Amino acid sequence: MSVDWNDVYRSTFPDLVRFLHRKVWDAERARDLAQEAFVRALRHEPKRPRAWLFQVAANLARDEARMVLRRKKHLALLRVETELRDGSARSPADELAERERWGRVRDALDTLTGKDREALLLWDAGQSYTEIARQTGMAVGAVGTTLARARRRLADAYRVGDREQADVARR
Amino acid sequence: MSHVDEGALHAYLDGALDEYPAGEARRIRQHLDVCAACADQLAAERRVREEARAILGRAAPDVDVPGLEELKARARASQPTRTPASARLYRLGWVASVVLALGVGWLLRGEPVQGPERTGSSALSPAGGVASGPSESMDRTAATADEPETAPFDEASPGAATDEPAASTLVQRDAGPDAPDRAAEATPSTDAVPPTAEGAARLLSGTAAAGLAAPDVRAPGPFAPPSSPVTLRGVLAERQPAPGDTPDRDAEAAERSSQGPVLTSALTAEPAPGPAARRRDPGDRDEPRDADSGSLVVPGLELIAVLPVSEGRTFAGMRALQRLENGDTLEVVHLAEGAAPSTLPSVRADNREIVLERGAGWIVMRAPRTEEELLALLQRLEAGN
Repeated sequence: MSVDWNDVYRSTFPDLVRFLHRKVWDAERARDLAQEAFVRALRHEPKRPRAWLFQVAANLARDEARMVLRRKKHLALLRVETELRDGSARSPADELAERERWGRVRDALDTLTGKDREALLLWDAGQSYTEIARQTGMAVGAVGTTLARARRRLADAYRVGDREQADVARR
Repeated sequence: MSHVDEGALHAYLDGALDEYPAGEARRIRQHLDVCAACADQLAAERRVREEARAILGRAAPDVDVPGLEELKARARASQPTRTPASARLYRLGWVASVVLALGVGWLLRGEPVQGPERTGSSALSPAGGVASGPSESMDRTAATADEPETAPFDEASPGAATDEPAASTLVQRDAGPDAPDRAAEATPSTDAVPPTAEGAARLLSGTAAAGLAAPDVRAPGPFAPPSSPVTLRGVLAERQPAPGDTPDRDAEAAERSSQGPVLTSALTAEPAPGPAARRRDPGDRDEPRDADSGSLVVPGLELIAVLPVSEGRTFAGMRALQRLENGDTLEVVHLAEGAAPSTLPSVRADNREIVLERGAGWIVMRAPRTEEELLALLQRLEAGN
């Protein structure tokens, strides 16, 4: 059965960007990596494109993290934005607020174990329990328990962050 | 009847009970219909689930979906060319003949040269005949180790942790999960072996195995100040990675080191005692220092704001927003050791960016200016320090 790539692309691309964004924390980079995953998928034409895309995306994000670590050690020009994008210009204040918001979510996610975080991000990107199980190597029956624990820890950690911020504001 | 555990409750809320065994799913549904305690627990878990979803939603970027046609074109352009079967056979035959020759040479290497059966021994003598073949090949291997012959390995390795099957066969550096279809689409590892005598010798020699594990054996060249000014645009073009590109980082590092002049060389032959040098004290990383911000301000520009940069809860650097002469905003960021430029927000549409390493940290400059103009601003900044 041939894959309708237009359909896969429309339904999966936003989820893939969201998934990647929580890993690289750079919206533009997440978009680039999602595109790269699709380019590779179009080249390989996997039988289960959605699961394949998330697997490749996770690998790309992992590579990205390693690349950043390595690049810090070397004299280099990392990147130059040469293409103009039609994004709306935002004020520094808006940008800062967004960064703070993302930072708090990131802090909360960082309190989770790797497997819990992966399962949660895959679920939030619309992956089924079976797909999550396949990608994380756990049994389907364990996905619910993992998600329950991950959600609770995320909510708890986020509330702690809220309280800390309120304390700082009061001082 | 036992109560429903929280995992099953979340599966129920996620609509995933259909993925459970049919009997188990039916039991959970029936129990939830009659058990008040589990119903209460279900309500509590629903709140947790919604809270988690809302939290994640706060870090959701706006996603515009670009056209698929462009990606299809990229996929077509990057389609790997397969080696024809006849060429592979030819190559295998060639390698087999080298194996045979080297094997004979190896067997004969310790034989004393004597007796009438060694007539015509000049062709077989340890000094210069077949017997010297292996060592000669080894020597040649060593001699060519600095040449870019390893390029095929480098080319294969970018996807080692992603989806390039041949590289994973050869390098095996990342043990993580590979793309699901990798095994089915793997190409023989011999594809990565250069079809040269040196390549074959390396494959057969002991050092070849090490060569496979270490894709780039070139030693970094000595640093030499540029004899002529380095054009910024040229350097930028060289350094700009393709979207999603995942180069082999070890090879990339060696390559960078051997490429000679880089951007900072164009600025100063030695790192200037600029802002990075001044705030490179690792012990200071956890606390912002107000004094630092002054050195991020380009002399003559109006300072708009100075903001800390954080990476999670850790202080990562300082960011100074300045007003350029025509009212545009210049952003100068210093990231301390351990912070990554990639954690900064994306460059605005109308801005350009230069990223430079300064000692163990980074300087990032962004403004609606050309790279040359940003470079000039950087020089003004450093001159002021």
